Amino acid sequence: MQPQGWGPQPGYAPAAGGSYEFNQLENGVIGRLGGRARTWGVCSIVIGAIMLILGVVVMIAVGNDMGLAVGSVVAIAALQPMVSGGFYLAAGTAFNNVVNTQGNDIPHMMDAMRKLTNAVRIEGIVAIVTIVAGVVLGAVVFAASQG
Amino acid sequence: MNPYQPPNPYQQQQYPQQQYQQPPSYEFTEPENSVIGSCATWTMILGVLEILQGASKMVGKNSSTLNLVVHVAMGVMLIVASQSLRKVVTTQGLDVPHLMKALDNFGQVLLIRIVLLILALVLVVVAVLAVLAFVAALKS
Repeated sequence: MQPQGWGPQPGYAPAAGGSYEFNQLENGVIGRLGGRARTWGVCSIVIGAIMLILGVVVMIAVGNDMGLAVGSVVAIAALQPMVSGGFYLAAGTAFNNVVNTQGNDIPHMMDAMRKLTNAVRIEGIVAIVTIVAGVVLGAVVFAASQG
Repeated sequence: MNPYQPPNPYQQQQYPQQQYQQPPSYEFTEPENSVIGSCATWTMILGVLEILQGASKMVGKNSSTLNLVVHVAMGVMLIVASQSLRKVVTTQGLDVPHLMKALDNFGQVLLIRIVLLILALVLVVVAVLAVLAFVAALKS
């Protein structure tokens, strides 16, 4: 169902391409998402930075092989929030550009969508890798406990 | 209605002329649809993973219904956003409304994440303060 105030009336089939300027209601939705994406991006980068610092501290403070292994895993895991956070921040800026500029709404929107896709893609890939690693680790631990 | 009835010359005046005077909308081009389609695919994957993550929290000793509800809610919102993005690619005439619905859902997911993070931060600060107060009480 089409929300009121968004786009044309049903039955209107416009041609592909061309220029389009988002109306005030649409700019409201885009601006809200832009603000939230920027906030989440900053939060993710801060979380990643804290994880990275923690990883390095563990590596230095513990000093043995175990500390090195745990610290390096934490430091590597910190890359995901930092990188995806960077993309969320960039996507938020691009969404805000859609709202704040005129004449280039669609290129700005496509730029934002690309960056949003990158952020989501990184989160998805890391989640899949984590699940696979968890299943493999669980299987290894289970096999070791049985044997 | 009688099919043999002669056409009424005044009937044309009843046609809604306004339908063709709407401001022009936008139909995304093939390269733009490709970008949106890619976003729809990964949003769908993330939504399914979010639900799986919520389900995994139900297994084991630290199972939490609240965790399940939050993750499933975010997963469903992402899947709905993904379907709206897919409709942008596969349908014609309502690209912008479908895109707006998707962006709205995405914004809600990000809002939930931000609120959860703030709650977690508050809990951490309260826990640290409690530990500090406990240590101070032991010393005195």
